[in-house]
Amino acid sequence: MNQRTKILMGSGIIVFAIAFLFISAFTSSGTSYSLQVDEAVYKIVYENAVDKKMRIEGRVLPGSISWNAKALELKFIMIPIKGSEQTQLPVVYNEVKPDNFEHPEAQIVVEGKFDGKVFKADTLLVKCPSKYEKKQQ
Amino acid sequence: MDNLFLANVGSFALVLGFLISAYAVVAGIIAIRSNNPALSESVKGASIAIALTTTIAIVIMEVFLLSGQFAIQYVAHYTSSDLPLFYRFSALWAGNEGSLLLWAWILSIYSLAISLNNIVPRIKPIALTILNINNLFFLFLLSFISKPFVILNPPPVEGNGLNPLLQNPGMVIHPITVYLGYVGFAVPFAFAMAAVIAKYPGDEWIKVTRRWTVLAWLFLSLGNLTGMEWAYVELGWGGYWAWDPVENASFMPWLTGSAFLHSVMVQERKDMLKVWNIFLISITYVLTLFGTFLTRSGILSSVHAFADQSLGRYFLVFTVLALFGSLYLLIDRLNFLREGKEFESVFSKESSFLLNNLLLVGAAFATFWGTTFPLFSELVTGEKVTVGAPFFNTVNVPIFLAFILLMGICPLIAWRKASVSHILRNFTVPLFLALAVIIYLLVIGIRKPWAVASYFINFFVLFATLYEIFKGVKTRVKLTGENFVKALINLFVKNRRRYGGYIIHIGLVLIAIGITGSSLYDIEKNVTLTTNEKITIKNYTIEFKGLREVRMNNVDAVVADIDVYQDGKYLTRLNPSKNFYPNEPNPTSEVAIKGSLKEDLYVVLAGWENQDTAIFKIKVNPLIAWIWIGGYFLIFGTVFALWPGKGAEMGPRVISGLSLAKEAE
Repeated sequence: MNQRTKILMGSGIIVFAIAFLFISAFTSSGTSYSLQVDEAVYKIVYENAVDKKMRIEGRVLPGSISWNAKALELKFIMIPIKGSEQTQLPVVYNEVKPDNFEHPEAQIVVEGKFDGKVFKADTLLVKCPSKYEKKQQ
Repeated sequence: MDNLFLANVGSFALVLGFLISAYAVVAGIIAIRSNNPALSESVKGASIAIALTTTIAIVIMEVFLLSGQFAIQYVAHYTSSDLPLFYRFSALWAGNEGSLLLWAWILSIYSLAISLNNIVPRIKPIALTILNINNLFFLFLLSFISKPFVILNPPPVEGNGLNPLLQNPGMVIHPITVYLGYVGFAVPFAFAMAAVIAKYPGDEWIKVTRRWTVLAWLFLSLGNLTGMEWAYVELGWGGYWAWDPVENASFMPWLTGSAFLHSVMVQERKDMLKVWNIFLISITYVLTLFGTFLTRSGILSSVHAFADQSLGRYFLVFTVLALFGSLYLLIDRLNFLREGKEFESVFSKESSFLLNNLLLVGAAFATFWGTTFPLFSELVTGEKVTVGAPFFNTVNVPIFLAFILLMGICPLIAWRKASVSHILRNFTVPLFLALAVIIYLLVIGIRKPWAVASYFINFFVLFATLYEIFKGVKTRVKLTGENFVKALINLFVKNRRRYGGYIIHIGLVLIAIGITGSSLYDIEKNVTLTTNEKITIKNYTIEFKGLREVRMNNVDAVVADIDVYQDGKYLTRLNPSKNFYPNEPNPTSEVAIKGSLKEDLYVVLAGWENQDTAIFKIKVNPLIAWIWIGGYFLIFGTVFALWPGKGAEMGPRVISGLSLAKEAE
């Protein structure tokens, strides 16, 4: 066997190892659906998507925020960015309330699972906290 | 001069720059085909003119920003009259139009430098034309799509002010370094393409563009590091890296750029891996464009993206053109890029570089896959599916550990064919030292498998690198009779390229140690405290003393007073706060950090209920300081290796303690 073949074989093994790592990471670490609020509500109601990881974009229904500081519990209702305020998803988040969260125009992203009653968010992000984004439109 | 006139001059300069770039591209192509020296000369003139027009435009913009001319839309959007001068200056790259202007300016200056230098004359005109196509693209955007000099009528009395999150020194340096890095890769890319187009067999383009490549890499490294530091001290979530698409966008070209820096050494020495190198630099450059597309288009949901759909489209088109253009050229001319030599042994420096490349490109591919998966899954299945941080970590952590291990072994492996016994002998001491560290860590309770693996590899590589330096010094002392310190200095100064590289390696190891500690052993507590209430986190006791209102400059702040005790002894007072900027409906958190080399105590005032009740996020982040210290090593090592003059050239073929002695004889 000449050196060239050996090198090619060695490279092949490495590429194979990386590919294996890659596929196992992809299947084990889990993916989540990236959805708008209305799509998420549809999935929950019609496809019974309970305990499935989801990443949902939307905004907060004005006046729906309830915040218990002692228990660190933030409850609010999420509605679609565009479209009807009738499509509502109740969300619970057990962490500190992020900056800008109560901004009337804030778009938020939650990640978590619907547990049958409410959407339990593990993360809550406020998108584009800066005003320059929206003024450009 | 009134604003209207100046703004028109700025706009006109950009359109003029666009037209001259168009001329420079056409004239450049004709000059290459017809070998017309007069025309080539005119392209040089065009380079000067383009640089002049962008300089005029950028100076006018800065004049507007610094003097607060709110009649200019850009100035009104990103500054206000109470903004400090420093941030008015940096507001140039706070928004789309200004960043593009900065980008175009850097590119035109780089192009000018290339045009005035007489390097690789056979392919330089082609490289310059490729750079001018880039100039053309950016000036097209600035002239017609994303105009910086839009006038507001009537002019507003006051501007919107700069986003408070951007009012941080890190955010001033971060964008400009990323741009310098991105644009810098255009130069080696242009020369690589020129070599392929001209079927120019030599590899001078690599030698000529090496400095550009390393500089671009340095800026990109700096850009990533300052971005991390900014996220850590300013965003208040306690971390520095979230595998956000925008972060990945500047991380991917860094990975492929690092691979390129190593694999070109193989071509320099051995005339091998030619196709691979051209592929790598093309991919790196395309990834910089792709990164810009990701950040500008808003196509992926990211926490910090610019929102301007149309600009993204243009970047996408340009990215696709650059990708397929370079791949087409590469495939079309494969046969002329025949390899000069073959691998002589599986166990050699060149094969270890190949392995290094596979790992880096593998990491880049995994990152790319994870970043763009939502897009492709939506195309294929109609549903946007995202992968989270666990995916990136699961793939990349093992790859990086292997990569770091290689970083320790590779420098000791000889070119062509290395001897296994020689290598093993060199590793005995570092191996024992690393084992000693691991035993110590196990005793103090660091037992998570990934932490142990990572520390073992990192300390082994650290000791192996230091040991290699130590041996070099010892040999030098023996040969020259210099004292130890002098020998150390001379060893470094005489082979700056090699030892600069070692310093960078040490920097990367320190960064990896910092990342391991802070990501595997961070502790977090979210608590609501009333005045004089205490809480304990690790060996810190935190006592909340109360809230007060403070007015500093233009900012109203609610400040929390917190007394920190470590092991029962008073340590310091921390003042996390929430700042209310004028014109901003929401406050911004200012993190308070008590840092040491061992760990950071990180306190965020998350909110309050009343005068006596406040909510805090408290974290202990171990070893985080080492990430920034490693960053300084990396910067110093790069500058040390790059600094022009003696010692910066390629060293002799083989340097190790023993062979150095032989060569001296």
